[in-house]
Amino acid sequence: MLVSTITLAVLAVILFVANSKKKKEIEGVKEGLKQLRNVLLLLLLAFIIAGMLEAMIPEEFVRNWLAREAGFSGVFLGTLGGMILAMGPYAAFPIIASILSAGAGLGTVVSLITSWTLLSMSRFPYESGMLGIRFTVVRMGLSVPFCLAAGTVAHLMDITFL
Amino acid sequence: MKGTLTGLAVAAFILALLAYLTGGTELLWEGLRLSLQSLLNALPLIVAAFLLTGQMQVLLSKEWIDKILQKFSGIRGVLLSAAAGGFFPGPPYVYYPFIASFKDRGIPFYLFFSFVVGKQVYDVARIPMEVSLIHPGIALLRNLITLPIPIVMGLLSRRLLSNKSTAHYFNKESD
Repeated sequence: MLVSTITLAVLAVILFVANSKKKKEIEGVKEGLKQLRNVLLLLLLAFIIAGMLEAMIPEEFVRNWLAREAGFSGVFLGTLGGMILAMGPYAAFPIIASILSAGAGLGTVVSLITSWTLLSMSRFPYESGMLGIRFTVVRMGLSVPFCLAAGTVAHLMDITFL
Repeated sequence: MKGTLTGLAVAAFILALLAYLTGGTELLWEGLRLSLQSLLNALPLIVAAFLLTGQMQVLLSKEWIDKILQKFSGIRGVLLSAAAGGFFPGPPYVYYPFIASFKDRGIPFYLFFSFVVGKQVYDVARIPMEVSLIHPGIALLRNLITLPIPIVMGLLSRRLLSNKSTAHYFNKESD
């Protein structure tokens, strides 16, 4: 988070300096603050939803549920599991690692990670709030076959080469 | 905007109610505590992101964007958007507002799509975590297998969804 904050702050300063040559830097600051004010309530609600989801998702359930899954059913369940892992990488990746070490198949793990990146419910409130429910549903709908395909490719590699 | 706000408020209320019904006040407070903690942690990042967005809005004129779009349309545009998404720093509450600020700039829908999917699948900043917390081999394999996804999805969205305007897929009422 600190690296991202510093990166964005440095970029903002660089653009501030670039805009100052056209005397537009203050306009840029005002524009940014105006946009922040416009979406502040949306962000607040999205944070509440994300926090509630994180508190309610039973991590143990996901862990136990997927630990021994392999094959094509594992790919399918991994895709479902990724959707309900509504948490950031620091929380989700150790859970996925424990599912892997408990004996889950490669296809299960790859579909789980891919689904977490593309379909995780933790992003839903931000995406639907900022870009609209239609955009979110279309993107998520198109993503499902790709999560299944990624898991299937990994499973086929697992049984063929590994 | 009003419709989206109402939808999110209803969703937040339903989730809070569910938390209360399943885990009592303890789970409800835990959810609120997690929300508040995330928000407070993210506040400096959010402010930095919006300051950057504001400067970009002023710097990138409509003419400049049109010129870039002429140069980078089609597959080149998809590749560039997906890569830009992968390198764009920050979590969802940073990159979604950033993308949303370009909704009215005449950018084709499939480029938004490629950017979002590129960010989600490639996210360069996430790779070290994936390598260290899961497994280097799994991380390599997963990244190789999913490498084409943002490009294929971008091209698919261009082919399948370009019959409607960009505004059709976004919050019309928030424009």
